[in-house]
Amino acid sequence: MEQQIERSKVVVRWIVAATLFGAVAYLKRTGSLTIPWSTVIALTAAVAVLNLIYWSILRRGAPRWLKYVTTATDLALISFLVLFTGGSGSVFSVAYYIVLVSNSIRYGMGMALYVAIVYNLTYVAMLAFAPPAGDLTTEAVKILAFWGVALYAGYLAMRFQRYARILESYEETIARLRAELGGPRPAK
Amino acid sequence: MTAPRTAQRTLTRRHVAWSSTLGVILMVLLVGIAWKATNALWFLLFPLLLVGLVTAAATAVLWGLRHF
Repeated sequence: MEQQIERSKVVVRWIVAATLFGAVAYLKRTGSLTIPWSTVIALTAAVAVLNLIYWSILRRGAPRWLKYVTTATDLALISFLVLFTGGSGSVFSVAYYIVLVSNSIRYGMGMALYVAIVYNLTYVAMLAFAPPAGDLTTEAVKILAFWGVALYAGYLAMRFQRYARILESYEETIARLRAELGGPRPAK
Repeated sequence: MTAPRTAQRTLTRRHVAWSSTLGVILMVLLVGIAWKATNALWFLLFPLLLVGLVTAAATAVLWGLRHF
């Protein structure tokens, strides 16, 4: 199951990376961004290399630690992209939410909390490297809003998982009853 | 003859009062840091404060609903 989920994440990562590359290239062409091409290429290459490594690991199976590593590297790479494209005012900050929603829906509350903690750490590191010009309260509110979304997404995922388990037990009961009814009848 | 077994509460009113007080303190700290921080590194405390706050709030709500 986890192997299947991580494989689908690899595919989504290619799509998101290509979309972000296209967006950066367009904004650079229109003069909205001043990020050098070397940085864009380096970030894209990092995503590509990591994705290929994850794919090769997933051919043999999905180790338990893989989901945590892939999530942390995704958040770290987005933080680099945000850092190089204007810091806290970057339009690419929304990419954090893609990682949050995609992981918490797949893995539940535990992963939602993990994503929020890693986001908190990487975003603060980004702010330390590129301090915003104005008041820091706005940044605090952004972090707290992310936590709010993470807790809510985790809660919804938890409820969804509970309903899925209930449905699974109903299906098992129906299958058992059907087998009992359809089985050989005792001779009269 | 053995004494009749009574249901033992795992969480008492005193525990809930303490955890609620702690939750309020954590919330005050959280708002204070968000409002007055002059260095972004203070935001590194958010995970601890938020997890503590959510745990305290959940404990109080579940106790109020007689879950424990």
